[in-house]
Order: sequence, then C-alpha cells, then structure tokens
Amino acid sequence: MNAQFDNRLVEAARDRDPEAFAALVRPRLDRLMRTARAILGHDADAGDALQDALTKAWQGLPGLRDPDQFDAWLSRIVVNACRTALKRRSRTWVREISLDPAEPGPDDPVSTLPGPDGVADRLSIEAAFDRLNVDERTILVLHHLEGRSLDEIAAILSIPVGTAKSRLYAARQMLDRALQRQQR
Amino acid sequence: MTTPNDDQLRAMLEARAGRPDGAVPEEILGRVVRAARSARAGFALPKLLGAFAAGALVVVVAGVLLINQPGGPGATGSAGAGAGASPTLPSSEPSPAPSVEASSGPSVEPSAGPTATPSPTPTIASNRACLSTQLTAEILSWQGAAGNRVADIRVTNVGRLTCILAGRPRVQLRGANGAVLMESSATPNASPSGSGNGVVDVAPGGHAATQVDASNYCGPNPALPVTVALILPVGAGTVVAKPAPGTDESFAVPPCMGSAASLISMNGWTAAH
Repeated sequence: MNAQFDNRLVEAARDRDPEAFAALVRPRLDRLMRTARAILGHDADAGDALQDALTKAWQGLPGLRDPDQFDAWLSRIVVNACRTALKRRSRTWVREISLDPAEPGPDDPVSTLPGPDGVADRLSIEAAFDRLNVDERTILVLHHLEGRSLDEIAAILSIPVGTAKSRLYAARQMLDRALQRQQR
Repeated sequence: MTTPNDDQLRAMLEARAGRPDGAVPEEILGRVVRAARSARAGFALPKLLGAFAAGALVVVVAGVLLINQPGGPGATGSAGAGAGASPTLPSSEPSPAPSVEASSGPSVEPSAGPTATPSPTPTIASNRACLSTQLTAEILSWQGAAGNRVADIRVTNVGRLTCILAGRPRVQLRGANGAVLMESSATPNASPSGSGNGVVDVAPGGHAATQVDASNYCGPNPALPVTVALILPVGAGTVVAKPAPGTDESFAVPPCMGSAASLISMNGWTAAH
C-alpha cells in the first residue's frame, strides 16, 4: 500500500469526499470482512458489523488526526462493531468458561469430534472458539488469522504491548480449556 | 485433541473467515458511500446558504459598527458607507461548506478577498478526488516502438476546484464508434508505476499527464480515430481522451503479435504544464 497515496486519501476523506473514502477502504475490505466473519462466525452478522463500522468510520474520520493511524483506527472500529454485534444478537452463544476444568457447565457439549480427521479437529477447535468471549476471539483472530504483530494488536486495541501479549496468552489458554472440556 | 497448534488454529480461522454466505463487502461499501453522497448533497445547499447568511450578517454588523464609530463614515455622513462599498470593512471569511471547504494544502486559491461582498461562487481549493465531470483529456501524440504503442495523454481540470488525481484508472482503447478494443485489468488502488509519485493536485485550468502503453491488438480494424478511456476509481466517472488536432494516427493501434498477451496499462500521474 502506498503510504503517501493513502495519506492523501485520508485527508480527502476527512474533507468529506466519499469517493476518497471508498478508495481508501476498498483495498482493506476483504480483510475487514474476514476479520468480522472470523470473530462472529456468521456471515450476515459480519456484514451488519462491517456496515456499522464503515458508517462509523465515515462519520468519525474528521476526528482522526494522524493519517498514518488509519489502518489501526479502522480495524479498531470493526472490532468494536463485532463486539456490539455479539452483544446484540441473542442467538449468539457467548458465555464465560470456568478456568477450573473440574467444573463442567450444565450445557457443555459432549465431545464427539476429536480424532485423526483434520476436519473433525477443525470443527472441534471452532466449537471451542465459539465459546470464547469477543475479546479473546478478537486477539486470536488478529494474531493467528491476520498475522498482526503484538505492536499492531496493541495499536488496534489501544492497549499496551505487554497487555496484548498477556491477553493473547490468556486467550490461547482459554481455547485450550474449552477444547479440553468438550472432549471430556 | 487438547491443544491445537498455531497451524491448526490458523486453518480453522481461515475456514471460518472465508465462508461467505451472501454478505458482499463491495455492496456494503457501496451502500455506505451512497449514503455519504446523499448526505453531502442534502446538506451542501443549506450549509452554503448558511455561509452566505453568516457572511451577510458579518457585513451588516461590521457596517453598523463602522457607521456608529465616532470617526467612522456614519459620523461624517459621507456617502457610500454601504456594506458592499466600503473598502475599510473587515474581510468576511468564507464559512466552510461541504462543497467549498478551505484547504490546508498549498493549493488555496484567491478567495473573495478583502471586499465585503460575498461572492456567489467562492473559488476555494478542495482535497477531493477528481471527477470525470471536472476533467477533459486529449491524446497529444502516439509513439510506436517494438510492437508497443504509447499514448501521451494530458488531462485538464475544467472545473472550479482543485482536485486530486491518484492511483491508476482502468484504461480502455476504444474505436471511434466506442467499441472497446483493449482493456486493462481493474487496479484502481494499485501503487502507481512510472515516473512521478502518482498523486497530483490539479488546479482549475491545470494539467496532469500520463502515458498509456498498449501492445498486441489482433481484433478487427477499428474505426478511427481511436480514443483512450480513463475509468476513474470508485465511480468517479470516465474521461475519454481524443486525439488532439493534427495527431498522427498511424501509431494509434498496436500491431498484432500473434499469441502473445494483449496488454494495455497506464503509468502513474505526473504534473504537467
């Protein structure tokens, strides 16, 4: 991505040029949609979240002071839109998982999936991933799907790098625990 | 499985992220942009009128203050103390409006000036991407070498506002009847190639230049003169460059090179005089 080109587009979009905004967002569109899909696990929800996020981005762009921060800023808006979508959608199943493996929940699914089959493994991992909260999902998506560094994750989530590191570690732990509980 | 490794986790996320079921990102962006356009069009007129009202108010207030000053025109009873006639009135700053924002860039043009008469057509630069309605284009020359044909194209801003040309439009070589002979792939946001940084401010009356390089056309003989269409990014329209008077058309259509790929591409924008 040409940084100078992007910065000019940010300035133009800040000056309320919709075409510049579109030119700025379009190269990032697929990545943002993939992020939203991965966090939410539902295409229509992801589409709604993306639309909310882009609307907010357009409205909030005049307040973005540093054009170099556009990418992190836009990603943050999408992540926040996913957070809102997860809260809003009653059909989305989000709950806390006990860190104590001896405390299975009443509706814990019975494990039937693990095995040598890669598809079964993937489904098993995804089922566990669905039991994470939005913050845990988000940091795993940013790191493992988008390949973001801890510095980038920290910028997107507006947290210190050390916090990003510890949250990433904790999210992996939670995923492992969720997987273990499924398989008991 | 108790602990997925990084590869397994990534594979799961890749599968989850790439599972489209109907939501098309491009359509979503289109909806947001259309709403933004509508909002801008809807608010432009009221804000512009508001700007005039504010300007008129400033003029009236300033005039009243001057008239009432002890040494002011009102005190001496001189004629011509009307708001629009007094050269001593403080200048009225144009208020920002969506279609005439003041630019912080270097391309700010002379505004209404010190006269207090508000101009109905303020000429203030903007940072907007150029629309096709602001531009005309012409082919200054065709050059030919080793099977390639290169068009030198000059674009002119015929609008009232400075605008920005950036990136690479999709380009088409067209016959005189409009038939598309060759077309580039859609890379509206690709980093520009060629000389220059590819981002050019074009002031009203100003120019930008680019070159379009075409090779290996094996279709039927086109109607002359051929033109080059520049399809600007994100729905900003199409500008068709026609040959300038006297342009030699003999190099306008690239020769057929057999089974080699048929290519047409555009270099980055450069400033031109």
